Amino acid sequence: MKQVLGKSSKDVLAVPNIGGRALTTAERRELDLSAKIQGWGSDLDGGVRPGVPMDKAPDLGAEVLYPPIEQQVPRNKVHKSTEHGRLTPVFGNACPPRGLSGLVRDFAYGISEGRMSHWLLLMLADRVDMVEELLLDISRLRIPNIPREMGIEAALRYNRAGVVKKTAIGLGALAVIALCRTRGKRSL
Amino acid sequence: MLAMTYKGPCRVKAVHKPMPEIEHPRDALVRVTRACICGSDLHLYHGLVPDTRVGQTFGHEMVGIVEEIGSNVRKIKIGDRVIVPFNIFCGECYFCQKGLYGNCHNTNPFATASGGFYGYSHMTGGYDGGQAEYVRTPFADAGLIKVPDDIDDENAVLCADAYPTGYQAAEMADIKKGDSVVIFGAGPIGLFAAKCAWFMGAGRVLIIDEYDYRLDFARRFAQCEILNFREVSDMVWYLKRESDWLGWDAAIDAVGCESRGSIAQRALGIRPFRLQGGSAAALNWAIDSVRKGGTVSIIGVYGPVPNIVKIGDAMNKGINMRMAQASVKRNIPRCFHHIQAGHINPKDVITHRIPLEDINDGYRIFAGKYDGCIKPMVIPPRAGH
Repeated sequence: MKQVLGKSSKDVLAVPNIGGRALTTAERRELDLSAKIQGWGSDLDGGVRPGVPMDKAPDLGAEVLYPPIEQQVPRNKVHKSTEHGRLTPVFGNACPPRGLSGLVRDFAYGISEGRMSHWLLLMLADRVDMVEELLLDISRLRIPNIPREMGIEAALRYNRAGVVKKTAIGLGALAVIALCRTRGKRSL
Repeated sequence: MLAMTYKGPCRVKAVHKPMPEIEHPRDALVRVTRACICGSDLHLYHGLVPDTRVGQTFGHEMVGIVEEIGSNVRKIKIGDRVIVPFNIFCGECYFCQKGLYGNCHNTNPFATASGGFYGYSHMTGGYDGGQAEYVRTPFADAGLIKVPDDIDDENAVLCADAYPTGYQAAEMADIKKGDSVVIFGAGPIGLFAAKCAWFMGAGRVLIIDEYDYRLDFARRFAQCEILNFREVSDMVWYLKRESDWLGWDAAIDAVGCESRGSIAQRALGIRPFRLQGGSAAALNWAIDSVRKGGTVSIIGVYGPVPNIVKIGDAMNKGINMRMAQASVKRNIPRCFHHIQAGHINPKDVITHRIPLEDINDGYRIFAGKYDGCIKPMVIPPRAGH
């Protein structure tokens, strides 16, 4: 993997300002660090801060919630929150719902966002989706290279000891489970 | 085209996918020249965000060249070099007219709390993201920002999210001249927030993290004081003592829902249980360490699943709490000004430049904080330069 470490500019190598601890609040209020820190105080005036005031057009009403915008035509099923008045004019359809996970999502989107069950069902659907993908891969005789997908090469390059430790812990746990099961069978 | 694809928690790979298409008259197609992996992408990567579907392409920080436009795109032209802000917004609805571009009501049918974002689960609109060779960009005239000639792609890509988000974190902290500001998290957002806190006239800036290499970088990049929270046994007590028992004027949570520092928060929200939406340890430190009547700015990302947060302390202390997804387009002119004036060089935070083909390693390096990683940038094969 090719990579280049970031170049150090003058900015990166600036001298830290660590004097704050020694100052009283009154002394800090009188500070002028502009000679020491580039740009210091340049946005002190609220007038140049883009987020002030927060609401730029405060007198709008609900009539501009859904302005007349051309409607994107759904190519496949698109879920809509029950808290929306209509399907939004634009949406993404990166991954249409599918299989069992899709059924769980269908059910979840019948529940409003305000309920915890809505989100928990969606997280459940995500896990089901993952298993479905794995089964789909296997059914197509494409065995996923899970260690590679998890970045094992980078982990081995930069944290070999950590990988070895985690592997040892995993194998140890498996050995303990196997031992317990063997003993359980003997006692029967 | 080649694109990053999510396969399940901690599993991603680069695969060939169909080219995106114009699906709406106001869409454009952008050939991505640079993209970044954001700290908030790691929440998706770790499977913490609901409705993150297998097969989605992540990535909401990108810059590129417009390759195709829809029939109703007027201002943006083919060949324009553009920043793609992470927010997808119409520019016309109630919230967009107020400048709250992160809350557009017309780009996300899946949820009403947030607007549409690129490559950030179906909870934020179900759009594929920009860690790919091409990306569909809805509402091109409203969203895309032409890059000035004197700003290169590497600085521009950080203007899609990280830098304006850090700026907004500092802005929401309502910093007045001489204020003391404590920032939790020395990732890219925390670094930019620290830098921007000085722009707003802070008198003292302290940044907190657990990785010494990040803190060392923060000290030099943002010229601030640093603290490794692993070196103190009681974070809030230490911060109170550091402020002569007053508390800090402003605190910024630039970590979000995967913060470390509390075994209980991690156990209840990340592993072994998922009884809350991740860990809110940094936010609770922010609430406890800010002075009464001070301001807590939340810019770290939290999801829709609830968190255990010390709202009682916040109420009793009379804290102002400001929080939002950044309105990138609103902040961009001021962010450009600081780059052009030489106050900041955002690309200094980029430590890794990773080919799209090796995106799986890029995520692992960033998630594992390996090799001194601060900010990984992704270079698609058709980047062109």
